Formats: sequence, C-alpha cells, structure tokens
Amino acid sequence: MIQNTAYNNRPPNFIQKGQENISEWHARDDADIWEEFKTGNRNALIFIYKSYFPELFNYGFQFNKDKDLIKDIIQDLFVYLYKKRESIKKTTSIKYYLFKCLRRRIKVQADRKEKFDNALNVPSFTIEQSPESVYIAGEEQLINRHEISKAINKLPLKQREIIYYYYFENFSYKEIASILGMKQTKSARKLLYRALEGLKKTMAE
Amino acid sequence: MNYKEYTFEDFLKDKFFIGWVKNPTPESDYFWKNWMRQNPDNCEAVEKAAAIISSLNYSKELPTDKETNEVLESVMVDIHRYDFRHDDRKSWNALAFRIAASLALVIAISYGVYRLNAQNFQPETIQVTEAVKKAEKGQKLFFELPDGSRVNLNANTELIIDSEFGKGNRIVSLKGEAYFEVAKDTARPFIIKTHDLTTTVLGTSFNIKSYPEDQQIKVAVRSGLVRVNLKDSSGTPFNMVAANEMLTFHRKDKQISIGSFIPEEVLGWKDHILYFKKADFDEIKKSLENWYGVRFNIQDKPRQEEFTGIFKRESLEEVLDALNYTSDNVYTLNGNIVNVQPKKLTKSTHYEKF
Repeated sequence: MIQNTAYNNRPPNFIQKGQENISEWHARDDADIWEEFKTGNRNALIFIYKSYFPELFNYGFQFNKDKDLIKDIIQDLFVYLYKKRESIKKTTSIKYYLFKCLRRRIKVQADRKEKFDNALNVPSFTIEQSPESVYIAGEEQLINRHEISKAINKLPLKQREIIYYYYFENFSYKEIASILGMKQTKSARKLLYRALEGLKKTMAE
Repeated sequence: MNYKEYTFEDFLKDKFFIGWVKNPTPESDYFWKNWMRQNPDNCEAVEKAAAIISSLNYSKELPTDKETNEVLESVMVDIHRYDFRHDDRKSWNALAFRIAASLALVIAISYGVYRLNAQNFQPETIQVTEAVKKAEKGQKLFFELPDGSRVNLNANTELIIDSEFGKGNRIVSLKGEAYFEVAKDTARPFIIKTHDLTTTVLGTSFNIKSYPEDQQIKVAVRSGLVRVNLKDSSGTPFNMVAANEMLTFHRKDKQISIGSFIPEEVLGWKDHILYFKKADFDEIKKSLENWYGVRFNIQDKPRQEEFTGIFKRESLEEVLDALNYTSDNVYTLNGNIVNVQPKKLTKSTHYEKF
C-alpha cells in the first residue's frame, strides 16, 4: 500500500469504525508511536488519544471538578500538540509527557482565575474515605484507613500530588520532578520523604 | 537493596513492593510471601507499609465513552480546519475546494444549480448510442470524450460512455484503470461508476484503478477535487479526495482509507512507465500480463519475489532480464508466453532454513 510516505495520512471525513487499526499500534513502543505522531500520522494521534484520554481526564479531575473545563483543556492540548508536532520533544513515555503538559495547562488556566486548588470548593487529590481498619499482626496498633486518608488530605497540594503520582500513577522520581517543574530528581525524592513524614506526624497525633 | 534492613518507610517507597501490594503477580507474590516467611521479624514493617499503600485509593473519575468520542471529534475537526488553512496548495486550488465543497452538497440535493445557470448551458453533443471504449491486454488507449475531457485507458480496461452523456450528467462506467482529465462543466457533474464506488468529479485530473479481480479500488487525485461515495448510497457518507491524495476502498470489509501516493507509481502507466515497488509474484504476473498482453505459464510453485524497478517504454525482454538478475525464479519468453520456474538452488545459493 502506498501510504505512510512523507505526507500525512488523512482519515475520511467521517471517522469510520475499525479503521484506525488500533491493534497494530499496541505492539509498538512509546518512542516509536510518538515519532509517528510527530510526522503527522493521524492514526497515531487517535491511538494516543484513545489510550490516554481516560487517565488524563481522571488526572485533570483531581485538580478541578469542572468536567467540561477539563475536557476543553484536554481537547486544546491534543490540538496544540498536533499543530506543534514537529517542534515538540521526543519521548520514551507518552503518558508522562501528556501528564506534564496537562498539568502546565491547568496551572495556566487556574493562574488566570487565581484558583489552582479547586473550582467547586472541593480540594484536589483527595483520597476516598474508607471506614476499614487493618490490624497489624504482632502489634495492637490499628492502622485506620480512615485516618490515613484524612491525614493525606491535610497535606499541602504538592505533597498530595506526589503521593498521587508515585503511588497511583506509578511515575518515577525523575518523571515526577519533571512534571512538577523541579530542576533536580532529588527534589522529588525529598518531597516524597517530606510527604510521608508529614503523614506519620499527623497520624501520630 | 537489602530488604532485611528496610524500615517500614523504606518499604513504603519501594516500587517493587508497592507494585506487589497494588497488583500482585504470581512472581511477586511468591517472592514476598517467601521472604516474609524467612524474615518473620520484618513482617510488622511489611504489613504496616502494605496497609498504608493499599489505603491510598484515589477516587477514579473516568469519562463516559460518549464524552471520550465527543472530545475526539472536536479535536479532529480542529485539526482538519488547521490543516486546511495551512495547506501549501495554490490559492486557486483552495478556491476550487471551497466552491466544490459547497457545490457537492448542492449536486447531492438537486440539480438546481444546473437550472439556475442557464447561461452556462453548452450546446449538446449528442451520443445516440452507448459508446464503449476498450483497451485490450497489451494495449493502451488515449481519446477525447464529447465534452472535451481526455481519457487514458490502461491495458485490459473498458469504459462505457452513457448514452445520455452530456445531458445533465456526464456518466461513464469503468472496469479497469483509467486516467481522466475532466473538462470543467459545473452544470454537468462528471460521474464515474465503478463496481462498488461512484466518483463525482469537479473539474480535475485523477486516476481510478478498479479492476474486477482486485481487492481494492483506488482513486488518486492529481489536481482538483473529487467526491467518492459507495455506489448504492445516494450521497452520504461521502469522502472528498483532494490533490495528492489517494482513496483506497477495500472491497472485502468495505473500509476506506485515504493517504498520499507516489505519482510515478500510480500515474506512471499513462506515460508508459512500468513501476514495481517491492512487488510480489502475483503483482508481477498481473502487471506484465496486462502490460504486454502475454500469458504466464507457471510450472512449479514460484519462489517469493520482492521486486523493485522502473521501466520506460522498454520491451518485455528487458524487464525479464532485470527480473532474472535478482530473482529466485527463472523467467523465459516464448512468443506470447512467459515461462516461470523456480531457480534450482546450487550449493552456493543454498541458505539455511530456520
């Protein structure tokens, strides 16, 4: 087939089901898929979108409960990345790259409105309250999950964020440092340490 | 990484440990359960860390499929718009696109434009009977239609010109491959019917390849714009194919894809350029049989081919020479028949099978 040459692949005006050949993309690694995207391959764009939109939505939602706003920001992000595809960096982790971009956009949005921590008066990156408690064998100390979530929800935003990135999204210190705009990886390490210390302190009270 | 010396905070930060708590696999499960059995003193630290990690449940808020698709469509619309505005096309092409786009809708709905543009009405060139133009195998044809449009027919191709051609519509039916240079007549759309697709033209030059035995139909546009829709549907869904784009219709699953094409590869035939690009045996056989009007005589199952070459107005002998040079098959010409035999492998050409 004479496609995928120097020009773009354009899907038909009406996106028809099953044409994106999604299964073929799953076998490729991030760097490869990103390269394809950078050449303007719209199938790559669609694959990346479908792979990461739910997570990005969830992530954005942690910052701001206004779903429509989050959807708009993510839409703008994908259009922007497509427009600037030739100049954007290569990456070996698309998820990390998209998270980083999204965070920056949300911050810009929020700075304009002078609100970063919440839109509808609900704090960001909060843990679900769970009534369960767990007994630690050999000790009579009860680890109360309820206490843990309360304690985390009391931490400052960046510390709550790093716990989210490290435990929930499974990013590395290096990726987290980059997402948070830190110059050194060890800053991320320190931040997590501080967060866990803060947690310990709150729980001990 | 000596787990024996880990405090509970160390476990809290260890990715391998975290991974096991959140998503145990048979391997990690085996490792940790085993380790805990062998290090009972450290169990408390482990359990404490595990308890904390497993309590980190962030509320998951996932979008609905509808929301996901809606945003995707908005993204695609935005990038289509962006690409159109930033295209390198000449301005007249862009203008034609805009006219054509709006015209296409009008044509689909009614022939009102035709009626309104009475001043554009040209004197009729009436064809009394249905005209059939046919290029045999080994033959190519070039001729002009009554409206001034020019057509190249590739080998083994038939073009049927509708008896009403020129009145209201300009309809032809194609079986095979043809290159069209359509004379502009906005009042009378030029329509090419192939087996599964209908292509409506708005004053352009393009190539259609629709041999009955092929799995795909290809419409490649050199300049201007065409509108392609499935034969049986009246109009929607349709696809616009613009200059430098080629639409490929897969007959089996009725899927459509649009991409770019290499002009020499797709249009070369009308300038008598025979083009092979990583062609397999079947493609070589089909191309040569059509191009030179010969027949292949295959004695034993031929070896695989991946042939690349460009030939301009060359004889079949020259093409076969080039083939023989690199192929694992032997091609010999005997009158009108090409004999194909797999090459006998000698010790020097024998390779390992794996």
